[in-house]
Amino acid sequence: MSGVLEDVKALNDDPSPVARTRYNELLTLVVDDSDKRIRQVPTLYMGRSPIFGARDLTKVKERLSLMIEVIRLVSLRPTYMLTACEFNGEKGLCGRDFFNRSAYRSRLRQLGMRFSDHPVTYFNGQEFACDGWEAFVPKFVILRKDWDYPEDYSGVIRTTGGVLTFHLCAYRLQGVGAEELRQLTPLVR
Amino acid sequence: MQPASDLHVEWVQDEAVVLNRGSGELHYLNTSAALVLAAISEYGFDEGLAYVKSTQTDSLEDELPSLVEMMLEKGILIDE
Repeated sequence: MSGVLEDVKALNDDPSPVARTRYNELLTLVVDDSDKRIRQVPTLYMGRSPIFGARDLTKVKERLSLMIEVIRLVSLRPTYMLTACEFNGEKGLCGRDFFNRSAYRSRLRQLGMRFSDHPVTYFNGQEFACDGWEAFVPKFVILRKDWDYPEDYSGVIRTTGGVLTFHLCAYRLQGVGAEELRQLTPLVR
Repeated sequence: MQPASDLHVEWVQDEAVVLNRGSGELHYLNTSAALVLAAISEYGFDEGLAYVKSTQTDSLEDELPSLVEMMLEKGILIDE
C-alpha cells in the first residue's frame, strides 16, 4: 500500500541527538489491503513482535511516530520495553507481551488490570515512570514463562531476585550499564 | 585463572548478575556459580576452589569443573 508513511512526521525529523546505535528495519507497519473477507487490522511490529494494532490506521501511525521518538531518545533516557500496569491499587510492570490487542492482556483487563497507554517505561535510578503516570516502585513484574517450564504450564511462577534482575535488564533498550544495574538491584531486593 | 577485570557484579541474595563492561553482555549466576565466583574473587583461583570444596556439599564439588568451564566460556573467568 503506497503513501501510508508520507505523513508520519517523526520519519522526516532530524536524526537522533546521540546516534550511538543504528537500528535497521526495527519497526514495520503492516497494512492488509488484500481482498480477504477478514483482514488483519493495521499493525505495528517491532522486530517480529506486534506491538500495536488498531482499526484506525491513523492511530497506528501515531504509535509509529511515538516509537520512533522513544527510540531516538533512548541514549538520553533509560528506557524499558515494559508497560506500566496497575492491579488492586498496586502498580507493576508487564513484559509478557507488548501487543495492545493480545488475548493475555484482554484477559487481564477483564480481571481488573489497568494498562498504561504508553508502550515503554523510563527508569530514573529509583523508580519507573511513563507518560501520564506518576513515578512508582513496581510491586510486581509480569514476564514470559521461564524456559524451564513446560509450554502448557498454568500458574504463577515466583522467581528469585537474581533471575528477576537479569530478566529486567533484558528489557532495557540499548542495554544496561553498570551504574544502572547497581540502581536496579535494590528494587528487586 | 581469575575473574575478568572489566566485570561489574551485583550480588542479589545468593545469586549474581554479572555485566561484562567491555562486551555489554549480561550473565546470570545461580547460587552455586555465584558462590564459586565469590570465592575465587576473594581468595584467588586455587584457594577459592579449595574453600568451596571444604565448606560445601559433595554435589557442588562435582559441579565445580563444569561451573568453571561455563564461566571461562562466558568470559567471566580468564586465563592469566
